[in-house]
Amino acid sequence: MTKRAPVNQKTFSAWLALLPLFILVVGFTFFPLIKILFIGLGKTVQPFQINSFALLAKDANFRQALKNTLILCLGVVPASLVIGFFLAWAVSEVRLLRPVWRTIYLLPLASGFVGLTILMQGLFQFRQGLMNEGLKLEGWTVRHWLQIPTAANAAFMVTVLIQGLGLSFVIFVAKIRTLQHRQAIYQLAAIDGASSRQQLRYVTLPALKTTFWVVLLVELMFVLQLFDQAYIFFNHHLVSQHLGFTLTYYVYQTFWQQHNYQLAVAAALVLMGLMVLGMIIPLCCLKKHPRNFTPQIKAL
Amino acid sequence: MKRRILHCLLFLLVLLGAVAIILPFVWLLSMTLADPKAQTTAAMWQPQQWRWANLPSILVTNLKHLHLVTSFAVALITAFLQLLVSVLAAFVFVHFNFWGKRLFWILLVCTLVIPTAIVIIPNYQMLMASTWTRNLSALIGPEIVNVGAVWLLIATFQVIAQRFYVEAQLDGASDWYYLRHVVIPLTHPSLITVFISQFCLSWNNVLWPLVVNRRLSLLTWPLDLQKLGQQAHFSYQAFLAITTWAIMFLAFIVLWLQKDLLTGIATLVADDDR
Repeated sequence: MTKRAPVNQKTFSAWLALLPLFILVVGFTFFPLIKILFIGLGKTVQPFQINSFALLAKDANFRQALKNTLILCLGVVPASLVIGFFLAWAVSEVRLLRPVWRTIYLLPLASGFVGLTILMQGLFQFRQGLMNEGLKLEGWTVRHWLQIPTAANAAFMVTVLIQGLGLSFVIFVAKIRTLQHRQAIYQLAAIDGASSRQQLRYVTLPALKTTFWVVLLVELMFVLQLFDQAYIFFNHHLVSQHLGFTLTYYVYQTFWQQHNYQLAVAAALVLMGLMVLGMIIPLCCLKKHPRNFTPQIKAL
Repeated sequence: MKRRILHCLLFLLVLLGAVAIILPFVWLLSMTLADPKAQTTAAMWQPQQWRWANLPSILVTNLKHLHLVTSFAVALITAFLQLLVSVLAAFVFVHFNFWGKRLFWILLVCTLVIPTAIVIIPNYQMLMASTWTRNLSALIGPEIVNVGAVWLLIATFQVIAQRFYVEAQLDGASDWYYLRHVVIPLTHPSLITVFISQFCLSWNNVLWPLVVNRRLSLLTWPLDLQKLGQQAHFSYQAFLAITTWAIMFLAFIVLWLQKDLLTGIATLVADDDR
């Protein structure tokens, strides 16, 4: 077999294989970004101007959208990390009918975001919603839950939380399942007299370090870019008092309904700033930690 | 003894959680299957009075308003193309050393922090100016790239021992042959995970179809349903019945393939063990 010319030929075939990905990434992500910032869109639209941020700061709707996005982040991300882990651990710990429980707990995620959002909205409907049915049974007064802003916001928060929990549950359960497949660690721990709690503290938790960062990353990406759920839950009649009025919704509204290009781009840039801030810690931790994540980064 | 009590408590907790999850779905089913004329609360909770014929009949009546074939085609093609592009990229990243490797990887990771909200505006204008919007490609194109998929596949391909690749090369196998006959058969759970995740995401996508369909007749089912729900003659029961179908469809696929999905997801976070 003739020896290949290592650098050139490999480089050529590698880039040939990467070409579709490269074209798509540059064409649909980086080129649009550069276009927005420096070139402008068409003849009529100027490139983004830095003083739009000043206008943005004066916009009450934007401030509310920013607040809503942060509230959703603080409300959903830590809770789904902790509760999602706890549920995954509890389901994996129960021996009787374990696959059945796992399947049931996967159901919210498996229903899809749209289906689950419509279902959750239905639960709070005035006529025949599950919430009001339950209240009637107890003899309490029923209400138009979705028309009371605080109640509607709480219901929306629960909807997002359940979807976030579904995401974190599936990642944690997948990881714990592989740990359990290697029973040797747990058997050794049991022989040494470790209790359930000690096994959790000294065997399971240390093995889940990477998983925590991955879940954090996924949850942040999910919550910061929330749009579909809000659009469906509030029947696309959102006002800024609704918790579903997120930054992405603000961008959608300012650009497609009010045709205010500069404000929309400025808000999108703020969202990007938030994402950079939010993701830099998990991404760095995944990269830095010697035993953690992406062996490919080490290989590069 | 203490251990047994703890396990009983955990079991009870898991059971309670399961009931809390199932209950809304039972409510959805009861709303869908109740007799539309005599919809009293009492009838709703009596399974013997449920009319199972409601489910198919409502779907058939509304079939012409729902672009199910479009939605299905978009989801299927996007997921397939994403898999193809990601497999090629991941293979190259794992086995090849080439100029620009690190730079391109950094570029890819950067896309994680670029929100959809910022790129949809120029993408929308670019596609509106092109001929793409006359067919499905406008819905598919911008959704193909997903760095998470490439990431998962790189992690998966690295689990296969490097020496397999060297041995295959010594035996005269081409890279393509090795990918086709060694890598793909060994890593099918991860491939299924990538495919199904993107299928679910595209099937449920609202924002991009909503934006790009302003001048198109190509709607996907969430938008159809939203539009139908606003018409006065469209009953809430029909709205929920279509939702039930959508949930059953996805849940069937995901739960049927759950073992592969869990194995695939576990690969993403597997390196702690190595």
